[in-house]
Amino acid sequence: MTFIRKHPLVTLIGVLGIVFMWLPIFVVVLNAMNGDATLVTWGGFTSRWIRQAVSDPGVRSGLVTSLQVGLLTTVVSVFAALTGVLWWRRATPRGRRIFDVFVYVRLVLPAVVSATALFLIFTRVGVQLGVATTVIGQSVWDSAFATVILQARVRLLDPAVEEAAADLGARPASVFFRVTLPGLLPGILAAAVLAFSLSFDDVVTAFFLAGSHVTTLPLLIFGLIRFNVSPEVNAIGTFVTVLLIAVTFVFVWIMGRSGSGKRSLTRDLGY
Amino acid sequence: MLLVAVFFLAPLALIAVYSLGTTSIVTFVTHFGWTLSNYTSLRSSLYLGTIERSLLLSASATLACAVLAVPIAFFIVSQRGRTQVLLLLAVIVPFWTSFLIRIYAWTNILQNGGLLESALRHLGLLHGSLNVLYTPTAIAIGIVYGYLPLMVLPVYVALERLDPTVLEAAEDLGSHGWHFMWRIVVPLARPGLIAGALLVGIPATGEFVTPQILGGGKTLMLGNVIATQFLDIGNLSFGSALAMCLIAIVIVMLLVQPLLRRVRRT
Repeated sequence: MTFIRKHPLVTLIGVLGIVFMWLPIFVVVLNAMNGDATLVTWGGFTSRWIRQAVSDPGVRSGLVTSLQVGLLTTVVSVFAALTGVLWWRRATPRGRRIFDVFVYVRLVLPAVVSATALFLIFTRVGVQLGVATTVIGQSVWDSAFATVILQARVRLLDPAVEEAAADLGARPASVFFRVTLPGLLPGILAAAVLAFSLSFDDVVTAFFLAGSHVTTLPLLIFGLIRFNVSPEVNAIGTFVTVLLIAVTFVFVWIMGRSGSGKRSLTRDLGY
Repeated sequence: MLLVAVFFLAPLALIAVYSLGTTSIVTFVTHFGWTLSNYTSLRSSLYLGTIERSLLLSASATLACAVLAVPIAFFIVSQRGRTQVLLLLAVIVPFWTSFLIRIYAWTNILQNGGLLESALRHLGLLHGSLNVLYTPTAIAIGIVYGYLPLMVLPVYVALERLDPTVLEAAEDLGSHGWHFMWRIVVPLARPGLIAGALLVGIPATGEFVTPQILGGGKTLMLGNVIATQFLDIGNLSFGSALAMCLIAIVIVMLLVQPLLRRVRRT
């Protein structure tokens, strides 16, 4: 649509808008290497904050906890989404509608609500808050996202191929593991990457469900920054940002290989 | 499905039950019953103020997102294939980095003596100190920034599906500038704007992280008050009533959406 005469103001807001989205991230990365401890001016390059963050035992244990929680959440979410979607595929239209409503409600409900609801039930039943409860809490939300991605993928799967395999004498298990699962694999990988990055970024669910002894990296950062600006947080933030951007590129790469171009990208993100 | 029932529906039902009971904040024992006392105490000015503030902040942030998203999305759509994909990635990638860090980044920018203040000083627009961090304005900026991609993407999708000849026809018929944006592009982007308004408005109303960081815990939104009731005060039933209130707001927003779509068609 290059022939449309572009209004200069539109171009200006468009460019500024994209700068606006990146500027704060650059500020964090630059301040992670800022020699001025008050972060008001640029005080020259220093690796002090990065070294401080790397050697901080709190950061290390937070990172380990986050990775644990993230991996467990990924496994639980993808498993739940996969079994759900396989059921959805064979369900009646009515069953499908009910399933879709459940997924949709989990996507739109603010995390505060589902986290408090789980908090109530865990404290009521007397379950000790910790890694397991955090994983369950995050999975409720993350599995809904994973489900949307897998649904998009399963639509591309032609049932005739599976039927052909069965007709040629493959047993149901072998049809599943050698035909269905490989067909869904890009979707499964994308869902896993998404679930992990959602979990790795989660504050609200962990805030309610991690209890007082378990601290994930976002919870640690959240505690550090509630009332002050500290250079060390910028260093941790830079690390987290780089990690998540890398994860995003893996996601985009998988999407690029499995579907094609921007259309599938936007569709798989749920639009 | 079973998992959904156990870990999602049951807790929600429990919230409803708790919200009708009473919790003693001395002994932390909850008595279940059919009382509306929690809901009547919602009427106190403190909590009404919080609900009002949450809605107001969420609504203004959603509006600001819409105003920014239309030109941004239109700008992206009007580029050629490869640039378009790159710009789209430029919108998506920041959204995928840590929400917490992106919100925190604004404390660097908004603090007194920070980037924004010195920029405004250099432009001669500001002489005293900025004093914007830890105010509702800072929260609104944070929410707009945090959720802008969720508005840009659906608007982009709506504009991308457009028939270019429609826009061409409008141009040939002499529509330019503001008229072109307001009368041609905005109506065509409407489905995306409605979807985006829900994607931004709903989480923004229940926002918890942004008011804590950019509001300095002083300006509270519904999400923060719920957290305080549950984790600090321990009044589980009143907290549940607040959570029910948030659920009700979300349901109203979802119900308004089809109405909006219908109004425009007639």
